[in-house]
Amino acid sequence: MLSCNIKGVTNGFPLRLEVEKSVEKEVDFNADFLKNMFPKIEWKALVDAARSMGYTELPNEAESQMLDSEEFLKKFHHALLQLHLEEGALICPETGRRFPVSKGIPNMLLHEDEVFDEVYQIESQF
Amino acid sequence: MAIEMLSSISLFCNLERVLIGYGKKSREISSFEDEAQATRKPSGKSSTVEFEQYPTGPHIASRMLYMAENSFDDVSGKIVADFGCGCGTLGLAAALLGAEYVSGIDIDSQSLEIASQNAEDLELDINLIQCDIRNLGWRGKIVDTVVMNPPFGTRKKGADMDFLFVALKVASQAVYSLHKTTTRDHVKRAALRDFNARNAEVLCELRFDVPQLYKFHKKKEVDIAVDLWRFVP
Repeated sequence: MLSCNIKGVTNGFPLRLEVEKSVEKEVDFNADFLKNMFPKIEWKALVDAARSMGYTELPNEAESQMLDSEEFLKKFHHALLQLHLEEGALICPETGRRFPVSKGIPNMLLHEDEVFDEVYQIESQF
Repeated sequence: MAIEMLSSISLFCNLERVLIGYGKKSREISSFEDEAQATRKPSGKSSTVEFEQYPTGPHIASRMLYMAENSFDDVSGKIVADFGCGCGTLGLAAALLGAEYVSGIDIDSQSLEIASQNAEDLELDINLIQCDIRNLGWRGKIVDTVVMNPPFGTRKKGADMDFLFVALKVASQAVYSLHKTTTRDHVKRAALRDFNARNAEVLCELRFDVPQLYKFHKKKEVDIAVDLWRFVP
């Protein structure tokens, strides 16, 4: 889940999820980790990603004071760490480029003719 | 103090033992590559040569992760990325030492499949992504620690420095990496001057057994000196 999510968030324009199959994994709950993670996450991207996998419990907006709520943290934990896209694809909203996900592993390899633009894009983000 | 040291040592031994146990798997990939090479036409460019993969031995992996955890507190509870993870040795070692979230990134799908199998065997959770590190679209300092055994760049000059460049951009806390001892001055200069690292320190010098995996290797097995580095972004 985070892998797609990281991709989604950090590309600046979150990748859309195309879900064929998603799975839930049991992950130990760690509130400190979630609090540390929260500022690094683009909330809307997480909400959209979770929704496309059928999890609709996350609030549309989130602020850091909500991290004091155990209930909120549990939902955040589930969406961030327990939901995994097993089969499907990540789709670039700008170009429609499809990155397939197979056995839970997203394939983000680029074609040769895509490399220059992408590198430039990465450079310009820093 | 003594008890703490003892438990540290046993932790180190356990980690190495677990990794040795699963190291059988990491050898599988080399035999797989031999096979792949044997079946490839000599004229065809072997993609594995291009990637120049050397499996990370269990000893080196446990040394790196043990130091990262015990001396610097860079592993447990952290988000750790293993760049060029191959069959996942470093990432899995991080997960064994209590990393909260581990991501393993490699360009080669066969390596990733083995990594996934290894994680399953060890009952560890590791999130794998197939991607060329140089085109990694991560923005900002999304991970705490990067651990890596980059291609040394014997075939593709500067490949290890490309990895380091990206690692220093995405890590907020530390980057652990292996580079040939012969390139020490160059690595230090590039890290501090070109990649804006705040600190670059050689933690120890290790011997790296490189088995003859590729045709361009002239000797049967070479023992090369590598530095274990810790960089602060």
